[in-house]
Amino acid sequence: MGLQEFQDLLDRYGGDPRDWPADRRSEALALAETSLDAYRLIEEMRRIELMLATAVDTPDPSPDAVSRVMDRIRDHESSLAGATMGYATAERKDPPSVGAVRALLSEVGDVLGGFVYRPIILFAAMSLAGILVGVADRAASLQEIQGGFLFFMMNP
Amino acid sequence: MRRLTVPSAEPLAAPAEPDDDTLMANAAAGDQAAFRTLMARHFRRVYSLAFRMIPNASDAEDLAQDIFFTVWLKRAEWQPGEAAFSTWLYRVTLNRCIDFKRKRKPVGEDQIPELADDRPDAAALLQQHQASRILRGATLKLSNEQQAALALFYQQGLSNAETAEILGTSVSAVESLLKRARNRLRKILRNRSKDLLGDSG
Repeated sequence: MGLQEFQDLLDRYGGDPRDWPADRRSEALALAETSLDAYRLIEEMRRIELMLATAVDTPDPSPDAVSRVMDRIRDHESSLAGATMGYATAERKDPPSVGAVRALLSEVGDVLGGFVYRPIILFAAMSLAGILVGVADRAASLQEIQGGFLFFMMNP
Repeated sequence: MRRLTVPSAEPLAAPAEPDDDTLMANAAAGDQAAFRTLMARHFRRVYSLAFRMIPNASDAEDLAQDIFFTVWLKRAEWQPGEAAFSTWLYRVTLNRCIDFKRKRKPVGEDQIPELADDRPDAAALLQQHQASRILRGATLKLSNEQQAALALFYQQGLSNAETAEILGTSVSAVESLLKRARNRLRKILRNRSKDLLGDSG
């Protein structure tokens, strides 16, 4: 095994011989024992790995980090429940009662009566009067026709 | 008068903590207390993993919180038996970190905050912090996949097979990722500091 191959082995499997493939381990260890360069390479890799495992100073998270997520979850669930309740309430809304409709119409009538109802009533009354006069007139005409017919039949 | 029998003074066994699957199943049914337990169990790991991928602690914490909130929202989608909860959680975390980094400009080593320290043993701590800072700067120059593989393997102590499952790739692909990461890291660190690695360069 040459030094480059040894370096590749370290890069691929790390500096712990237990992680090296069994069929190359003894040869690699023999090189590390006889070559100072190989020995230094293995030491270098072990230092890097030690730093990777330990050296990064991870600051502590905020003590209330978990609580803040739970607060957010509670807020979310509350708003979700509120929205569902509102929807359900809207779904369950009863139709307006007859009394309520009457009261509403009465209110509308009070407001609009002076402007709308009175002319309508007047118009309706006039129309009714016209119809009655027309019917009476027509009835009179029919009576006349009927009278003439009877006169003709009786006096052929 | 009847005498009460005293049970033998054997110590009571503490009730076993429910496992992740049980807690997640309860959370899926709306149990917030179960989810809190689950989060308390995993928050630091998720935050640490995020901090390995993202240079700012505040961003890493925000991201960890967002990840758990998202897990709550998507709790019904998690299927027990498909993968261990921690595997799924790591995968979600790494994906979110990578998304976060894609949206942000790459951070240079000079933007990694200095660690202030004025304690009596400041010299030793400073050396450690400098090593930490140099390593962090070097790690952040690696690809997202290489960073993720390093974090899972070294920081989380997972095997290549577990790392492969989380990254959704093969063991040999993880070995290749780790190989390239170690190789690149070694070259960067050799250039950055002889003191850090000795005289091997």
